[in-house]
Amino acid sequence: MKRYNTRPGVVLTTVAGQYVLVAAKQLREICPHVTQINDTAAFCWRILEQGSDLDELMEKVSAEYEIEDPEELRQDLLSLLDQLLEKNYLID
Amino acid sequence: MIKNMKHMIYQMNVAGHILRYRLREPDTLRFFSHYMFPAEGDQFDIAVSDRDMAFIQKCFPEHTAAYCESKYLIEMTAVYLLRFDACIFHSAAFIWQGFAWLLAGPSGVGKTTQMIRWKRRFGDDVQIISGDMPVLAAQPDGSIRVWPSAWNGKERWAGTTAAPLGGVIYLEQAQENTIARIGPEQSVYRIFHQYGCRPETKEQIIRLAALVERTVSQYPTWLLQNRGDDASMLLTAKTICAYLSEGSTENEAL
Repeated sequence: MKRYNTRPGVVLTTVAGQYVLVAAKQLREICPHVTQINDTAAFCWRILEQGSDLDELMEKVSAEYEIEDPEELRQDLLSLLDQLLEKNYLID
Repeated sequence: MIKNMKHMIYQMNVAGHILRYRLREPDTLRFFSHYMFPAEGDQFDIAVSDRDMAFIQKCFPEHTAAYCESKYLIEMTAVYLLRFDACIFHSAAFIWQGFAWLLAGPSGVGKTTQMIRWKRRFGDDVQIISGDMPVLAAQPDGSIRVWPSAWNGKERWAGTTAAPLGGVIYLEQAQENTIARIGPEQSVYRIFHQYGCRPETKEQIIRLAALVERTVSQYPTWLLQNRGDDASMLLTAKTICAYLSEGSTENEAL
């Protein structure tokens, strides 16, 4: 299964309770400078910093949050991964 | 006139810090004519590398090398200032009622238009700090102070006085004038973008984030959706007055 890692140079910060991904200057040609993300995406990011595949991510998110529909969670996580990949915040 | 200079070392006072620059292009100096002065010695704090120069010239192919260098020095200065918990903030900054107010937003949104209306209405009661890129610096007491800089935009509105920050007015163009104070969930992203800085290291990112945190947590950010007319400026002035009155009332109650 595909493993995902956060791209070096992209830093998750918390500012006034808001989660923000900030890409360093050397990534300026491939990554947006700043992207605000929600609590769940920030939680996932922390997992992805250690490297993860979709199954591991699902397992850890399910342990942290009350999940009613695992299939919906899978789709949501795939969507998040796609968005992060599109912004080049992740490497696979 | 400087000729045949391989390295040109100049110094400039930026928010109370003396920074030393190595310039590549002799003509770059004319963009800083009242701010930069020749410095002794070869040491410098800031210089545009060949790689960075190639990048910025790709961004502005229609402009001269000197213009490109002067533009890139803004970003380099902004990053360098982070070590002092300071940074350049893209806005038109003015002093009114004893505080600095920042008209912020993307280029072309109407900052200059608003600034002209403020100056026309209030005359000498409004003092311009910078027309384009003031420096915001965290102070030991936890406040933020707004300083003039060498980068003042096309109109070259430049002041000489610094002032304590009062708040940020973030502009958006709209059909009707409305103003509302916005919380961190709406201001963090906007304020981050207004700090003209692309950090290189994790430490610099953390310092920038701390400055953004201080800005949005301790000072009001208002979203002014506006037509760019006098009414929008007066709406802002009234809002600021109400805000300052609240502060006075709270102080009196204490």
